[in-house]
Amino acid sequence: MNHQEKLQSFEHVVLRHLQSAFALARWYLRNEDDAKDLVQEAILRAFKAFDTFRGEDGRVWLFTIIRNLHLSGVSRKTPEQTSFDEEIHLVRESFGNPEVLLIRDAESKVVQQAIEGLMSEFREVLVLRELEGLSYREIAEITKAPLGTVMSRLSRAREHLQKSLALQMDKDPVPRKDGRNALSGK
Amino acid sequence: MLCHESKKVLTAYLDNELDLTTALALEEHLELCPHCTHDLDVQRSMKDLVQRSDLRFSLPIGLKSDILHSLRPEQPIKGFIKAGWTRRRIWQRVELFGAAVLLLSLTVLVYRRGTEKQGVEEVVANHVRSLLANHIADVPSSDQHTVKPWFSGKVDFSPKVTDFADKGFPLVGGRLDYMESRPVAAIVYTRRKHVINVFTYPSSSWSGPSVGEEQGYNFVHWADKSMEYWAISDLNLSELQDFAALLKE
Repeated sequence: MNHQEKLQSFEHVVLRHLQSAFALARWYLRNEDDAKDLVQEAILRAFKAFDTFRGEDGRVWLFTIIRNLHLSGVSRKTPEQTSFDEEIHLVRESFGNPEVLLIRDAESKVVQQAIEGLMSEFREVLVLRELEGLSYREIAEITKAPLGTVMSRLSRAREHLQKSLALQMDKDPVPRKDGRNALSGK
Repeated sequence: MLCHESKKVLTAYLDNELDLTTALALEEHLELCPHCTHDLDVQRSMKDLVQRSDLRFSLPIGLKSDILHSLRPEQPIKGFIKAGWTRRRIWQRVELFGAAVLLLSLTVLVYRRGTEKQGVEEVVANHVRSLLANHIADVPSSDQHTVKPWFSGKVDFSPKVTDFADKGFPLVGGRLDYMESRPVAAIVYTRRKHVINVFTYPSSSWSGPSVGEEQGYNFVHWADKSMEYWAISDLNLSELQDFAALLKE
């Protein structure tokens, strides 16, 4: 097919998942600029490879490309950030995009940071499962890991999350709207 | 089922990924085992917490249009991230390259006159360029009484500028732009995170109202007694037409 047809098909099958793709890149790289770089490069490569696409799930296909690109070290320009740097970076993000207000309730912010604090292989299965709603089989396909490994990583991801939040809550409790502190259960 | 087995399948049970036989065996075990029941509660509470948290990262403004632009046929599709390049160097190259290509295609466009298709292409190029360079507005203001007079002296007409924030289309600013090498006014609005450029200039002859899609962007094109208008955005056509109706009032 010609370029225009290819592009139309690509937009319909792959680009519709752009927001999810960006979100995945953002969870991998933990800052917006690197995530934008990764997504743009991944889409370019996906488009070049689109002739090999056999009609499988467009999102799973795109996510696999993003993950492979991420693992090959592309776009990881920003070194590990301390939580202080992260705060400044989040503020910069919201000024850079005045139409996008990073309004998250206090609890969600804490959860976001706890997830970002997880090691990469735990963070990725948690994001793919809870935020993207992918099945274990789909996650196994994207991460090229056996089903059992996916299960155990997800289980440990949830455990680590609970431990990290419990530690956080002891230091700095976040009250919920209804008064109860759900993160520590008190 | 024993504890070491049940621990392996707890998480899958929560996610409805267990076959019925194993699920039943697990439930029997849980009735007798407070430790595994506790572990399940921990897993469940984390699952629930993550699901009810607001963790969505929305698309940054301009990213989609940048991406669509990079997939155009006139752009040679080559990867531009190589090991060792800093982000700044990469974006300088991208902007220079993108600007050069746009400038070239605009120069070509300037010498062709008349047909609506070329008008559309020029409008698209202007729209994309305004997003690429992250320079949406020369006068960034949501106050129509600031934006409208700004054009005085820069164009030889006075464009209609109205803020429609109460209808969900807030004014973002104004910009001087060019079509067929004439200066035109670009009034910029947003709808949620979509940028809408409204190009307007005086016109005595025009080829008729139209609505369409070009290179992934939707546009509406119309005229009144003396002025011609284009509204272009990646916003869906239905809402863009609603917006055009507001402008026509």
